[in-house]
Amino acid sequence: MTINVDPPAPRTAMRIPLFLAAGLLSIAALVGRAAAQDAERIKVVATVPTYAALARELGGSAVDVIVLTRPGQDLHGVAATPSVMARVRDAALVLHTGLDAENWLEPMLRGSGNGQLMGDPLRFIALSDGVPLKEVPSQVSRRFGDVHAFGNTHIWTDPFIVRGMAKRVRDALVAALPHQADAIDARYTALHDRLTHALVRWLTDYAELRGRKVVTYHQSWVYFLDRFGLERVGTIEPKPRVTPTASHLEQLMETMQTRGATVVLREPYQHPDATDFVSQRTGATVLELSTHPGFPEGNGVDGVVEHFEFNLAAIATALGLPVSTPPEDTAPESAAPGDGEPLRQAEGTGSR
Amino acid sequence: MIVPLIGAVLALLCLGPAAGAQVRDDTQDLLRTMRAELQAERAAREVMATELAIEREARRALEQRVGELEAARAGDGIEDQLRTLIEPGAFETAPARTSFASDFNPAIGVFADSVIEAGNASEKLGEDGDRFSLREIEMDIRAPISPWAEGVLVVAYEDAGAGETETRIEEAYIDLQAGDLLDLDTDAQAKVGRFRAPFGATNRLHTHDLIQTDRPYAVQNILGEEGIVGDGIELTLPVSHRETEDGRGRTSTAHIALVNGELLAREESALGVQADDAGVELDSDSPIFLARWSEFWELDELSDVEFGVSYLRNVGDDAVQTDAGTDIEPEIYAFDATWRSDSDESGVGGWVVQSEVIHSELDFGNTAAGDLPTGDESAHGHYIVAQRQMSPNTYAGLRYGKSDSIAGDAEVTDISPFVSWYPDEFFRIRLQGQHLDVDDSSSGDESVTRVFLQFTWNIGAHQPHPYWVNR
Repeated sequence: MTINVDPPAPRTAMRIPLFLAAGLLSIAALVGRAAAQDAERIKVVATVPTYAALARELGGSAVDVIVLTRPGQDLHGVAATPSVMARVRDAALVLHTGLDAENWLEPMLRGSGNGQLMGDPLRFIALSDGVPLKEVPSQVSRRFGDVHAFGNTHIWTDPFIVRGMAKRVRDALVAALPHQADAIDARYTALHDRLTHALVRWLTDYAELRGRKVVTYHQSWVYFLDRFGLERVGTIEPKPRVTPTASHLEQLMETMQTRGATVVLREPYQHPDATDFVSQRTGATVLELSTHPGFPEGNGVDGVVEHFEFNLAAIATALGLPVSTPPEDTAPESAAPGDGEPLRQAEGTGSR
Repeated sequence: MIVPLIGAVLALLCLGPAAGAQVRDDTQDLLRTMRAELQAERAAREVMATELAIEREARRALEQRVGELEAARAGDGIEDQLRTLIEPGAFETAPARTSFASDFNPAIGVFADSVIEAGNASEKLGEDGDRFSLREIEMDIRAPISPWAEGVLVVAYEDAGAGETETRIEEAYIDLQAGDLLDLDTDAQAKVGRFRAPFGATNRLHTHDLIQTDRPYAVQNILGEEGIVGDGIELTLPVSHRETEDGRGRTSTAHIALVNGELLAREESALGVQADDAGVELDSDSPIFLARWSEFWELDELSDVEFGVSYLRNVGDDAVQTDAGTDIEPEIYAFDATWRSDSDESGVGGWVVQSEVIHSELDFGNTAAGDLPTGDESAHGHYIVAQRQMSPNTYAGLRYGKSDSIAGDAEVTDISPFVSWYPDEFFRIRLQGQHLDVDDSSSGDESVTRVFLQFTWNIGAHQPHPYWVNR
C-alpha cells in the first residue's frame, strides 16, 4: 500500500516563476539597451586593430570604436567574456576579416544578443571580400596543422590590401551615417592619398628589400613579405600553430645559414623561447613586431600608415638597409626604430 | 467592381424603381469611397517617388563627388606610379566564394575523451578501475535556423561501466534572441529544450572542457557525476554593464530557468544515484526553479574575476517523488568565484583560480522510502583549483576539495594534481593524480590513490563552440 505523506503539489505554484520570468523580462526590456545611440554617432566593432584604425581614421568623432583584440594578441585566443559581449551588444557595424579567421565572433555576437546583425551584409562587413587570397590549400586537413580552409587570412599585413579595405569601410560608414557622407569622404580621400603616396615611396625606397631572406614565427606575414619582395625561408612553427620541436629548429637554422636569413619576425603573443634559441645559435636578429597598428604603444604608430612605416623601418634597419624618411607632413610622431632595441609590449583595448 | 454593378442593374430590373434608387445610392457611395482610396494611394505613391528621386539624386551626387576626388587624385600621377610598382592582378577584385547548398548543413564537431585509470579505486570503492575507457564521444551539431534562433544538438556516447555503453541527448535546445523575435527593446535570450542547467561555475561545462579529468567532488556528490541537465526554458538577462574610469568592464548577468524535476530525479543525478543505492526509484510531477546571478569584473587588461550565486528549489511539492509516494523537497545554493590572469600576451605564467561552495537542504518528509533518510538532510561541498600556464602549451595545477554526499553518510576529501599538454589546437594529453579520503560512517574509512591519463581530441571545423575554455 502506498501512503502519500505529503499533500499533493499545488498546481498554481508554477505560476510564480512564470510571473517572475515575465517580470524579469520586462526589467530586461527597460535596462537591456540602456543607452540609446545617438543617431549621428554609431558604435563600430572591429575584430583587429587594423580595422579599428581604419574606422577611427575615416569615422572621426562620429564613431565609437570597440576593438576586440590588442595589437599583440593572438587572434585565435579571444574570449567572449560578459563584458566584451556587453560592449558589442549595441554595435551598429562590425568590421571583420571573414572566412574562418575569427571563429569566435559568431558565438560572441549571438551570445551578446546582437546576433541578427550577422544577417545584414550592410552592417556585418567581411573585409576579405574581393581580396585575392594566398596559400589557398589544395587539400584541407589537420595533417597540415591549423590551416585555414580558404587560404591565408592575414590580409591586413599588406598596405595595398588595406588601402582597398579603406574603401569598403568608407562605404559602410557612409551607408550607416548618410548625413556625414561628405566628412567621411574627405577623410577617406586624405587617407587614400597618404597610403598611395606612402606605398609608392615604400616600394621605391625599400626596393632593396627584394630578395632578402627572413624567417617568421607563424605564416602571418605572407602578404607583407610578398608586397615588398622579402623571401621567407622558413617558419619557427613546423606547421601552423604547432609547437616547434628541436629537430625542426635544427633544420631551420641550417636553412637560415645556407640561405643567408638573418632576421626572424616574432609577434608579441609568440613565446620568445624558440626565437631566442635560434638567435643565440645563428646570430639572427629577432624583431618583435605586431601585424597591427598600436604596437609598440606610445610610439605614434596607431594609424595604419605609421604602423607600416614603423615595421618597414625596423626590418630595413635589421637588414642593414637605409630607412626611408616620410615627408614632413606625414611623418609619424616618433622616430622609427634604428638601433634594434627590444620593442616593448603593447597595451590596447582588446579582450582576452 | 463589376459584380456590384451587375447586382445593382439586376436589382433595378427586379425590384422596381424604389428599390433601384436605393441600390443606385449605395453604388454611388461605393464608387465615391473607392475613388477616394485610389486618390489617397496615388498621392502616397507620388510622395514615395519624390523621396526616391531625392535619394537617387543624393547618391548620384555622392558618386560624382567620389569620382571627382578620385580623378583629382589620379591627376597627380601617383596612381599611375603605383600601377608601375604593383602587379596588375592586385588591382583586380577576387571573385566571390562559390556557395553550395551544402553550406546550409550544420557545423559539426566531435570530441572524444579517452581515459586510462590505474590505482586502487576498484578494490576500495568497488568502482571500475585499472582500465582503458573511451569515456565519452560528444557530437556537437549547430546551425542558425532563422534570423532569431540557433539550433544546438549535443549527442553523447558514454562508457556506462561494466562493459556497458549508452547514448543520450546531452543537450538539444533552440537558442532564441527573444528581443529580436518579439520586437522588444531587450537583449534577453531564451533557451528552450534540454540544456546544462545554469548553476555554479562548472556545471555548464562539457566533460572535455573541464580543467581536470573529473568534476570536483562537490559537484559530483551534490549535483551529479556529470552535473545536472534539465528539460525546460531558461532566460538569460543582461542586467547591467558599466565601464570604470580606466575602461574596465563591470557586467551583471542573470539567468533564470524552469526545468522538469527530472533534473534531480533522473538516474544520473547525485540524488538519483543515492536513491538507487537505497532501492528507491525517483519520479517527478512538477518543475524545479533555478536562478544564477553573476558579476564579471575586468581587473586590468589581462585579468578578470567572476563571482556567481546560484539557487535551486522545487516549485511543486512533487518535483521529486519516490516510488513509495513520498516527496523530496530540494533546495540547493552555490557560490563560485573564478580569477583569471595572463601574465603576458602568450599567456605564459597565467593563472586560473576557481572555487565553488555548494550547499544542499533536502526535506525527505517523515515517512521512510526504502533506505533513504527521513526528515531534513543537508550536505556541503567545496573545492578550490589553481592552474598555472607553465609554457605556451603546458599547464599544471592542483585541486583540493571536500564534500558530503547529498543524501548519504560519506564525506570525500580530494587532492588532485594535474598536468595538461596541448600539442596543438585539437589534441590534449593530461596526467592527473588523485588521492581520496572517504569517511563513511556506515561502511568505514577508505583511502584511494589513482592516476588518470587522459587523451582528448577534436574532429571537425572550429565552428561548434570554443575549444579548451580553460586554456
